[in-house]
Amino acid sequence: MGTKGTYIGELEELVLLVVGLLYEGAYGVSVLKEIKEQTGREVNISGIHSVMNRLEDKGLLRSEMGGASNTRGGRRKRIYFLTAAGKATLDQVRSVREKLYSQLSSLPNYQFSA
Amino acid sequence: MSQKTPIPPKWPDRFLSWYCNDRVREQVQGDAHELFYWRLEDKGISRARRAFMWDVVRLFKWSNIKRTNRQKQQLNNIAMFKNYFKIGLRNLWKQKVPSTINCIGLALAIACCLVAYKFAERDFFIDTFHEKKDQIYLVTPVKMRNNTPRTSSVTDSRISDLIVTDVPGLEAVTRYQSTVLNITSDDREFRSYVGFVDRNFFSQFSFEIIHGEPDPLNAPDKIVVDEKVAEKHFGDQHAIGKTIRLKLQGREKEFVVSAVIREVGDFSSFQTGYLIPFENYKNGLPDGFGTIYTFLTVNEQVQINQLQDNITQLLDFLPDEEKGQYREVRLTPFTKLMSLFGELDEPFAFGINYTGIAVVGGIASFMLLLAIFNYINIATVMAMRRVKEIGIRKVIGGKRRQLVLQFLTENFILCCFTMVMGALLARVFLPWFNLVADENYFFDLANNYRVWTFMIALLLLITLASGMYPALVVSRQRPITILKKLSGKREKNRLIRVLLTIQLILALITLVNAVMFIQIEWHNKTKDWGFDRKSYVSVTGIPANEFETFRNKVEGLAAVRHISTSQTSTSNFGYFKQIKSGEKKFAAMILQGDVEYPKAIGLRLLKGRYLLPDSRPDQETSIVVNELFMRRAGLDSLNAQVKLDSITYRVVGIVQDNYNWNLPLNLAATIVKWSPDDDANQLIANTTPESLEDVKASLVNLADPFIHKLGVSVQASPDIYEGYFKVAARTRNLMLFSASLVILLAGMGIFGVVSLGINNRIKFFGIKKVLGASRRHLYKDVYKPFLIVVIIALVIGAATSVIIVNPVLELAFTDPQSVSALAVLLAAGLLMVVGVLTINTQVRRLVRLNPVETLRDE
Repeated sequence: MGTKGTYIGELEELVLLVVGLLYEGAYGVSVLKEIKEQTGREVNISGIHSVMNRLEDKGLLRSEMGGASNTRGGRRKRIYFLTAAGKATLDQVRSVREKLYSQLSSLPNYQFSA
Repeated sequence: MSQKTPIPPKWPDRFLSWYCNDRVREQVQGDAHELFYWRLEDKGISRARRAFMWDVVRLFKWSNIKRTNRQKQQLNNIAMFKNYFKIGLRNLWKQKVPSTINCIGLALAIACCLVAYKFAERDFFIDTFHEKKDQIYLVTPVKMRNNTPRTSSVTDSRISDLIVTDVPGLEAVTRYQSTVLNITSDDREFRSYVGFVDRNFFSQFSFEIIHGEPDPLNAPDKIVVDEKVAEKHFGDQHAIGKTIRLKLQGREKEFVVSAVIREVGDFSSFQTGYLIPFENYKNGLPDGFGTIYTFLTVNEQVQINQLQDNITQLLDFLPDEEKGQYREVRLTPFTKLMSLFGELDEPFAFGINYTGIAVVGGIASFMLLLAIFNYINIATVMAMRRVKEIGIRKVIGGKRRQLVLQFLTENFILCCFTMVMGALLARVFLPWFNLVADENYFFDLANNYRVWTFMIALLLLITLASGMYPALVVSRQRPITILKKLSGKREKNRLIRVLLTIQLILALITLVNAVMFIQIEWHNKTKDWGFDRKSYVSVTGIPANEFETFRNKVEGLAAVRHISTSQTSTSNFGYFKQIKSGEKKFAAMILQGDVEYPKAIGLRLLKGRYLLPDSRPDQETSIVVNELFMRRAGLDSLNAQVKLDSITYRVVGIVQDNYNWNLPLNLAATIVKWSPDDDANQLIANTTPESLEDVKASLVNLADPFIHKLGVSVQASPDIYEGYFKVAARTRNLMLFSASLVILLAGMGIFGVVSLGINNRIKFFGIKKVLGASRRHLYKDVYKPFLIVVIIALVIGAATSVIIVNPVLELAFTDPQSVSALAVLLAAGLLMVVGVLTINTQVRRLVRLNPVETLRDE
């Protein structure tokens, strides 16, 4: 994953944020539900898995096997945690975005097209 | 929720757990299930199910799919197999005796299979290595013989000469013939087949020239030999340029070796030990004589029918009386010569020996089956002693599949070892088999990829067939049962007993078969054949113009009782013809000769008379028949009339039924018919058995002036029938051999099971001895489990042997006997003796055993 470095995509950013939000309860289904609730976006489970695997490979997430539940037929979950690198990346993305956004709002005479 | 909790759709779920990598299966499947239940509450059952299926499809992606070639796993595998290998070897070493028994038994069976393979291989692959084989045809003229058209494989030398010069559209004409000649080099003399071939032989047939010229037969005094011959004559010296002397037409002639070819052994119908130019054969022949195999290499676009017509037209060049014998000339594809064996006279190839292959292959598969049963039996008992290992492996997470794999790997090691032993044994068996089967097989593992393929296939087969059952049984054990020692021993013992029973049944069948073969062979040899097969001498091949003089000389011999001339050849007693008697039609054997003929071969007259010596009309219209003929024709009195070739004959004499050489020992309805002296080509001189050898010697003397001519032979009747007994003795030896192997295998099977059974219960016996068990008790304890097995095996074996062996005997003999109670009893007795002797060796060990030894370690 070397060259991509710390650049992350939009869905990746979303997942990183949600994993951070959910803290110790972040696993495939909970992330999927949270995204749906908070943003209204329906993402399929396979997509979530891919994104989380990718983020783990990049070192932005860390995972371990967690507890089981009845609805899972006694199967354990893989719980994801935000790593320090993950948090740093989120900070960096946010700062870049805010920097850009502040420049956008400082153009007083701009006519936004319809 | 309703009474029944809905569950995710079964099949998609199974599919998911099947394809999912072990690493991620738990979380992925868990997520899918959780989503299902979430959606179930949200959207209802059908949409939840549909969504679940979609998820399964979406999750079917590279990162989730199970793959075997991940690097980590491979490394693991090597370590795992190393571990299996080590434990496998340790186990074999720990249980030396049963392992050895297993190996030897299986190796014997493998050796049988390899020999059987070798036996069958040649028939199917002979002559197939020639590159142009599909373009080559053999010239096969159709001639009339005894009023029936017969296809011959050989061509008259004049026709084959004409084909060379006059027929267009041929790429090449290659002629071949072989004969046995005296060969000398360096003062050593051999007799061997020498092949005569045209110069283009090597460009048409793919024999590889190792040393020497590419066109080696370009002069009449050159000779090509194969590797083996070159080594025999010249050792390790270079053969090219050396000389070999052959005796041709009574004169020695020198030939110079111009090439050495690769030896192909049995895989060529050509005799390729010595090959010399064809001129040498033709020059020695009288004109118009000669039976030559003529091969044509045909260009692909040529019409075979047109070519056949062209060659048929060449018959016009023959003198009229000879031309009349021919119908036409056909071309037979070279590749069909093996399968058309029976339809061609003077065949070039041997033909496929289906019966032989069935018999030898049948014996080999029987052996293999027996050995595998044996093996399964002992291997299961051996594996059951290792259940603790299985239990521990399972507890630390070994899956059943892995355990099966472990056992199969161990078994594979043992089978590989056995295969090597089997191949070595086969090398030992082959010379012996060659002797029995009168063949010349040898193992050429280096050049023969087919043998390798066969051996590898056989290896896989026996590994799976012998190893699968023990592996499955053992790996099925539950660790809790094993470690708590709640063994399910009763069930296991039953299985082993069933296998042992089957094994004994198979052994009994083979034994009964062998006993019957011996009995029938002995009976056939000693029974009355209905004629005097021990007291006449036959001379064939005397030229027609000398025949009368020769006969007069023979009449001068004092010891000769009857002389007859006949029209049939020595080994062929007669021929079959369609007979009409009233409404009945059937085939009868026709024996033709002069008036003395029935007396000369010693037929026994029961009723009526023989043909009258002086009455030509009587000779031309009367016949003597045997009893079977009368029964077939539905006749019961003399002077009945029958029709043969639309001529009506009167039955004047009835002889006792006579067996026949032609159809080994078959009774046939037989007619003895008169034929004029001038057609005769055989002379039969009857004498007393005591003076038979003297008469033969005198006849050889008298025939000496003609003996240099082709085809003169003097044979005493016992020698003629010797051939049959040789064949019968060979078959008998084969059956005897298989029976001894079976006894050995059965003995080893019993030995293995008994010794392992005792070892498993050695403490039990130790305690018994300490408590004062007598010898009788020990015998009883060991024998008891076998009693029922033996009784069942003997009963079923006796019944099945009657069912199975009778058809085999009917196939093998034309005059078979049914399986007798005596034979079954004999076989059963033999088997019992072997069983008792084997078990006793083990019980004696038990009797001598010091109980302290067995109990000390606890």
